[in-house]
Amino acid sequence: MRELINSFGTLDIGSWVRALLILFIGIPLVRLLSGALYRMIVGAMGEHGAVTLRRVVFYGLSIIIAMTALRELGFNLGVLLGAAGVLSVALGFASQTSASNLVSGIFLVAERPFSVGDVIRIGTTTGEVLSIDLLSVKLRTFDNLFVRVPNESLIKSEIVNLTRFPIRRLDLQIGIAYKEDIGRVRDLLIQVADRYPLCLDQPRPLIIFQEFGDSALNLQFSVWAKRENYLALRNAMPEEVKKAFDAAGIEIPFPHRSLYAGSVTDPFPVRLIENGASAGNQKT
Amino acid sequence: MTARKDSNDRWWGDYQLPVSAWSGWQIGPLHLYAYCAAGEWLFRWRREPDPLTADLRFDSPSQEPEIGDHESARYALAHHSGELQLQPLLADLPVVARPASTLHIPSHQQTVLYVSTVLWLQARHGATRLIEMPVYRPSDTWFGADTIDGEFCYASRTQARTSLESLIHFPHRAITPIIIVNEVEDPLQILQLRVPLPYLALHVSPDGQLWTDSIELTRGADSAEAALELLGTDSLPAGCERLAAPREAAPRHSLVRSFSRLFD
Repeated sequence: MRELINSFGTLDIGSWVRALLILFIGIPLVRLLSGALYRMIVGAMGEHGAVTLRRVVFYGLSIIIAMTALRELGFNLGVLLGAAGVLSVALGFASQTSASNLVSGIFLVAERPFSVGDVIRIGTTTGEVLSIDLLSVKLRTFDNLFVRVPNESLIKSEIVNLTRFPIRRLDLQIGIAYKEDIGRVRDLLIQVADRYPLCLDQPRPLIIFQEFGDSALNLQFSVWAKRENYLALRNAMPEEVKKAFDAAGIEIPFPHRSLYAGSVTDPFPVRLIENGASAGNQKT
Repeated sequence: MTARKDSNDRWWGDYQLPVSAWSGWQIGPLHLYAYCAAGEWLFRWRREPDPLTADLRFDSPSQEPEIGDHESARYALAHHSGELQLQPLLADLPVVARPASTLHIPSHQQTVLYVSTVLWLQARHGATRLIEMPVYRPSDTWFGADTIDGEFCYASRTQARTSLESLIHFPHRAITPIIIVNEVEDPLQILQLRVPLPYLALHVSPDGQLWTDSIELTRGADSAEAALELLGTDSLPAGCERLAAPREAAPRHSLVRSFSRLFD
């Protein structure tokens, strides 16, 4: 430190002028250079990659400009580098998480599991990607909340990109009464899908028999839509199915239980009591 | 009250509509109403559920079409008269035609299929384009080898008739003659066929039927792709008059994915 302070007393005006010139010409030049580099590579690398590279180039060259200016002023950079070495060890321990986020961010940029504008789901959070930054990814949820997700947790987590592919499948779970004809229901569901224009004709709608449920025959009705129309289909298709079932007299049963005293006994008799009838008239 | 320059059953053409009164058309399944008011045009429309409704009518309804039953659109224009032009157009996306029953073309054979597709209607006031809509909204569909790569098209169920005599004409549908040539040893099984309508022009024959340019699809070694050639008015009835230019410029020769089935 004493050497640094003593250095100031031995400088002449020329050194100061040269140092200031280096700074005032160098920094704007570096800014222009990084801007030009960004415009050259944004098409090839995408917005996020280009911004990251521009920042790396800008800050890297700025540090070099600053060190050159300091050297011009007569600073012994060896002293600084020695102090920086000690400082970097301390900073390294303190910034492990940030460094991990930074490295994770680089891997995310290279791998591109999603881009700005995509809708992704991470755990229970679903939102639109606003930006992919050095340390974190920013999301906007559908109820307009701002969510910051560290890159480190993204690398370690399962990410679902809801808008990567142009079409999406909607799966509806439908239960029908045991008395219904499955073939007739299948034909009806296909007609419902064919009538609705937002439902894609190809891939063809699927009806998959799931199980003989406790209260109903459980079917899965899968239809496809453009990803932009997914929400419209999500709301419209159950309504169309319900209307078609009602028109065809097909029952969607409530959960129910049948009570038996045993296989050789009659079912329990039940008598409906009208409103206003006395309780003494009840019998079982 | 209203006069058209064309005098036959063709629904397209120039109309001189009354101001401050409703005018209505039924073109197949589409009911369209137009109201010319000071400073604006108002349109309302609804569609029948049956896409093969073939009625054709033009009149002036006595009552205003109900808002709840109809979709509507308004267009503000600074200066206007009651002049309105209705123009038929082809679909703005390719159409994937699925024959009602699978068609097989043996090796080294060719055939002509006639596929009909629904038309779009465009209303104009002079050079100003107002409304454009399909006469019947076809279903969206996906045409590609898988659910990742492909393109959006419209879907059309077709009888894929092979003879002109068996064709049924509709005022709101255009017929595309498709010559399919199978040059390989294996028979070609046609489950669905992609018709590149944006590349085709629209014509009307002397009897008022609408036709598109004819096309030829030649199946080579790759069973999914075919060489597409646009034949213009070849294979169309004599005396056809062009009504609308193609929406997009098409290459003279290209390989297109025309025969395809998605994995089940």
